[in-house]
Amino acid sequence: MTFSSIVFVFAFLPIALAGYYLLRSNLKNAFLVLISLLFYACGEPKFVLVLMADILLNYGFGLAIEEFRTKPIVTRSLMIIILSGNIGMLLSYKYLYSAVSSFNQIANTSFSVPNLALPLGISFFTFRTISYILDVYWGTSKAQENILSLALYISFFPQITSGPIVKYNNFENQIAVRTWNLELFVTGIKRLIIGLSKKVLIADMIAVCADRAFGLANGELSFSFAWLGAITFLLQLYYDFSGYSDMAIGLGNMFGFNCPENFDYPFISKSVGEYWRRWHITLGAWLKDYIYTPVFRSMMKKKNIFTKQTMKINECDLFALFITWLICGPWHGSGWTYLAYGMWYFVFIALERLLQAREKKRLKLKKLPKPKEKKWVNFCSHIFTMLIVIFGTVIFRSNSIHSAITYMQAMLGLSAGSFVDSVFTFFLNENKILYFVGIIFCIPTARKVKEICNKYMILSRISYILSPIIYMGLFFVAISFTVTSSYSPFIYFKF
Amino acid sequence: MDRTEIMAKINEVFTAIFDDSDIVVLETTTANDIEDWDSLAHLELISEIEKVFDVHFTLGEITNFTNVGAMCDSIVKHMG
Repeated sequence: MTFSSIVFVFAFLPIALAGYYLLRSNLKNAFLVLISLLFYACGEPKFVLVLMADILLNYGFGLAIEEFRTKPIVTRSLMIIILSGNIGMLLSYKYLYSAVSSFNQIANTSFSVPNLALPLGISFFTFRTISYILDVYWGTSKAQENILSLALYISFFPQITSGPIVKYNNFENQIAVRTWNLELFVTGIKRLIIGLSKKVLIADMIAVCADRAFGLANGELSFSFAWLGAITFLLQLYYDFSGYSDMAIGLGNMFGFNCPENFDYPFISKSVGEYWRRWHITLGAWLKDYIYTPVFRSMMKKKNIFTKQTMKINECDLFALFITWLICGPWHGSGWTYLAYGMWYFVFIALERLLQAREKKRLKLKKLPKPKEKKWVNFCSHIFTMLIVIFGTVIFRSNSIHSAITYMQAMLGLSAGSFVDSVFTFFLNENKILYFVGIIFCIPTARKVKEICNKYMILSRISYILSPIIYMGLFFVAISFTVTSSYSPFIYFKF
Repeated sequence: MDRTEIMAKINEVFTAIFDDSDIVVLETTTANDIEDWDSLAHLELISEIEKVFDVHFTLGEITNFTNVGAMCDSIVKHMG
C-alpha cells in the first residue's frame, strides 16, 4: 500500500485519523504504533516480525546502556553489539547475496546463500535505530522507558518506508507532547495533495520517456534522446521522492508531528556540495552527524601514513568524506552502480573542497577580501553542477557500470546512434507541456508567485479564494489519474 | 572566566576561522547566519575552541550545537 493508492487515501487514512482523534490522549501513541504496524503488514506481513524484533532489541539495549552509564567499557561494548546487530541485519538482507555472487564470479567459487527478500524500508528504519542507540550512548537523549514510544519512532507509518530520516533526539519530545493545531492539520492536507500531485501527475507521467531511453540497446540511443532520457529521469526521481517526502511530512502534520524538510530546490545549486545540502537533506544530516563527524574526530590525532605527521584538518575532511560517500552510495542499493554513484560525488565534492581551501589560502596570504559573486561565474557553476548531477543520475539509474558507460557515451556523442531520431522528436512533441511544468516547478517558481501575491493586497485576496479551489482541483485530477493508472511504487521503496 | 569573556573569545575564533574581522557572533547565531559555516568549518571551529579553552567536547555535544549559545553552555560546563 503506497500513499498514492486509493485504498490508502480513502480507507486507511480516514480510519487512522478518525481513530487517532477519537481516542484519549494517553492512547494516541499506542494507536499510532498499531496502525503503523498494520500499514507495514499490508506490504510485508512476515517482515512485521523482523521490525518488532528490531524494536525490542534496540529498546532492551538502550535501557542497558542507560543502566550502565557509569561503566564506560560496558556501555561501549553494549553499543558495539547492538550497532553490529543493526548493521549486520541490513547487510545480510541487502548485500549478502550480491556480495557472495560477486565473490563467486571473481574467485570462481560456488558458495551459496539464500537470496532474501528485502524488508520494506529497512535502510530507513535501521538508520533510525542507529540514531537512537548513538543518541543514548552519547548522552544526548535518555533511553526510552516506554517501548511504545520507541516503537512509534522506529515504525511511524508516514516515515517507515522512505523517511524523512528523523534523528531520535529531534523526535522524542514530539512523542511525549503534541498539541492539536488546526493550522498544522490544514498544512498537512495541502502537503499531502502537493505530494500526491507531484507523484501521480508528473513523476509517473515523465517516467515513460526515461524508461524508454534507459531500456534501449547500445547503438539504438541517439545523442538527443540520451540527454532527454537522463534529464527526464532526474525530474522523475525528484518528483517521485520529493512527492513522497511531501506526503510523509503532510501526514506527519495531520497527526500533530513536525517533520524536517527533505528537499530545498536542489536544481538551483551552484556547487555539488550545495546540491547535496538541498537533496535528501535528512540523509545528508544523518550521515554528517553519525558518520562524517565521528570519522573526522577520530582522525584528528592520527598520523598520515604517507607523511608520518599528524593529520591536517583538510586530510581529516577528505578521509571522512570518503568514508561517508562509501556508505552513502551503497546505502541506496547493492549493485556496483551505487558504489560508483557514491564515489562519483565524493570525487567532485572533494575537488570542490580542495579548490575552496586553496582559494581561501590565497586570499589570506595576499590579504585580499572575498571577491563579490559574479553572475556569469554563478551561471557557469550552476551549469557545471547540473552536468555532474545529470551524469551521476545516469550511474544511479543504470543496471550496471557497463550500461552506464554506454549511456554516457551516447550523451557525449561517442556511440553509433544518430544525433536526433524520431523517438526523441515524438517524446518531445507529445510531452512538451509536461516537461515545461516539470522544469518550472522544480525551481522556486511557486515560492516567487506566493511572494508576489503576498506583496499586493488584491493578489493576496485572489490567491486566498483560489487556493482551496486549486488544491481541490489538484486532488481530484490526481485521484482520477490514480484510478486509471496501474500500480506504481515510489522509487525509494526499493532502498 | 565569565560568559561575556567566553563569548568574546569565541568571537575571536570565528573571526580567525572565517577570516572576517567584521563577524560578531551572538548566543543566537546559527550556521544559517554565516555563509561559509558548513560541516568542515563547524569542525574547524570546534577544534579551535577546544584548543583555546582547553576543553574536549563529546560527539553528542558537537552534533547538537544548535547555536553559539549552546557552545558557550558546553564550555561553561567543561570549565566548571
